[in-house]
Amino acid sequence: MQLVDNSDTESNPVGRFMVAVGAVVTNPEGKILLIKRSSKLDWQPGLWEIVYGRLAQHEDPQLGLVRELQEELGITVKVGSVLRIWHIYRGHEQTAENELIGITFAATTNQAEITLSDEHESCRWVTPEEALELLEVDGIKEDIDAYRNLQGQAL
Amino acid sequence: MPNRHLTDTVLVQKCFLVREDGKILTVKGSLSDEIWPGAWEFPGGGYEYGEDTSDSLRREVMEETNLTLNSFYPVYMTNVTDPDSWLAQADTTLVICYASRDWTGDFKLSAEHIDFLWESPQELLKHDFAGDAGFFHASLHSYLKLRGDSSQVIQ
Repeated sequence: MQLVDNSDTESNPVGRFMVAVGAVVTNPEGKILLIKRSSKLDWQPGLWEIVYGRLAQHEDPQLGLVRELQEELGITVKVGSVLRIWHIYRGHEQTAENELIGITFAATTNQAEITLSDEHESCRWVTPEEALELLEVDGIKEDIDAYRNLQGQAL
Repeated sequence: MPNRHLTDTVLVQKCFLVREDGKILTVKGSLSDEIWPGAWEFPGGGYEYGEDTSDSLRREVMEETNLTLNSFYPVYMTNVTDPDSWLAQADTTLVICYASRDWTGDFKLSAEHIDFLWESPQELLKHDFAGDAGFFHASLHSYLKLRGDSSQVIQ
């Protein structure tokens, strides 16, 4: 494998980006869990989303995802296939400090009871079609599309 | 809140280019490579700061094969944090393998490689992928599973 040549860090800088993990969580009926952001938040108040969280240094992506879902929703999940890799800048400035690489996975849970944090005001289990109607953020819709493609084996 | 700003993080992306007959492109590294000279591998490479992750994979595949990737999907990801592994050239090395049947152009071997083959997943497993064998075997396994061909998976 030809890996990055880190000996020349000026022309080929070592990444110092943040890493986020997210999940399209489904229940045994195949419904997707959507959560609604609190209307009091500054960023995207009141919008529907799925769970995303940032990894800590040295944290394994799959284990980090399990931790985030436990913290944010109080549920235990089984992590499945990787659905999508994405790249964004947090905030408004496209600087190295704001750079973030995201990994969205499929995940399943048998737990129906969700414990929401202060950041979210409600949650719903919906079909992929209903999810695409409720969601407004393009990246999250792409995650749902990737999940649908995986289910349909349109590979 | 722990510091979620990772340092020394590297992202490496690889791709299975799948032909109409289901055979996958593998390329052989140069004998003058510093690490594992002459090992077989798959097209792809290191993400550079500021790139879109998809554009980065397209760039690497173009550089190494002269082929244009149109669409592709992730099949497997892992991270390497073991400080003894040569893959762990950074604090955290995220390694992702994609697959694509949707590519165009005329294949040309790049100066980075000395040989190539189009082979079935079963044939590919016979080759020497040196230290990447675990990652590539897991990726092939996952690729076949996603396609619903788990009967073909060789453990």
